[in-house]
Amino acid sequence: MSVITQPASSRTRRKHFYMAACAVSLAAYAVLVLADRLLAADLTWLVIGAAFAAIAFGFAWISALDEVATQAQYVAWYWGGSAGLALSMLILLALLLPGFGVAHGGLHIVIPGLPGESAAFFAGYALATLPAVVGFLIWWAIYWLRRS
Amino acid sequence: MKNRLRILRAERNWSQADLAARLDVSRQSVNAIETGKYDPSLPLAFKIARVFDLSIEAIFQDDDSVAAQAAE
Repeated sequence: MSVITQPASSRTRRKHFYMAACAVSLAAYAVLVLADRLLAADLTWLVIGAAFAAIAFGFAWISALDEVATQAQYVAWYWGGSAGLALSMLILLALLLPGFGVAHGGLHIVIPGLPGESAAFFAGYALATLPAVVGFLIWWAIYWLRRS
Repeated sequence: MKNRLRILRAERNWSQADLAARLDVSRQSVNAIETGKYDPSLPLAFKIARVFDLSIEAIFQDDDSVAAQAAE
């Protein structure tokens, strides 16, 4: 019995191209950031360019997803992202409590090694974004594990 | 929702990847639809029907119609 094979669809080819381009841009970004720091060269615009390229290719990649994969994104952001944001809010509320509050350097506790202002900025940014991203990734993985 | 994708595919000797290429979706998506873990949108259901040259009802059956058939 012969199996009739079909070449990959145009969407799949586009998806793979954008995924590879996004990965290359991210790698370029990492290399440029490293070079910027190690060589003390002013590569700011190249770094920004690589970051924008990664974002643009990332959007193109997402737009090339089929409806099941798009649904996975919706569900993962809805449940995982929302759960992560709820966790961020809980942490924020906890930090506002007297005794473990911002007044006592609550945000600085998260990254004790960094100097005060940098740590506060980084911790605040991480507090707002990381739980949602982690929640998204967990829910996205669960979505596909349940459908594979 | 139940469907006859696996049977129809087997009748034509198509792999999941072949059907995926014909539908312009990923193989994982075909697997999710085939195993009843994802209900396709109407446009995709029409596309599937066209690929197999059948009506949508000949491929997909909702739970109510399956229950009604079982009761008969």
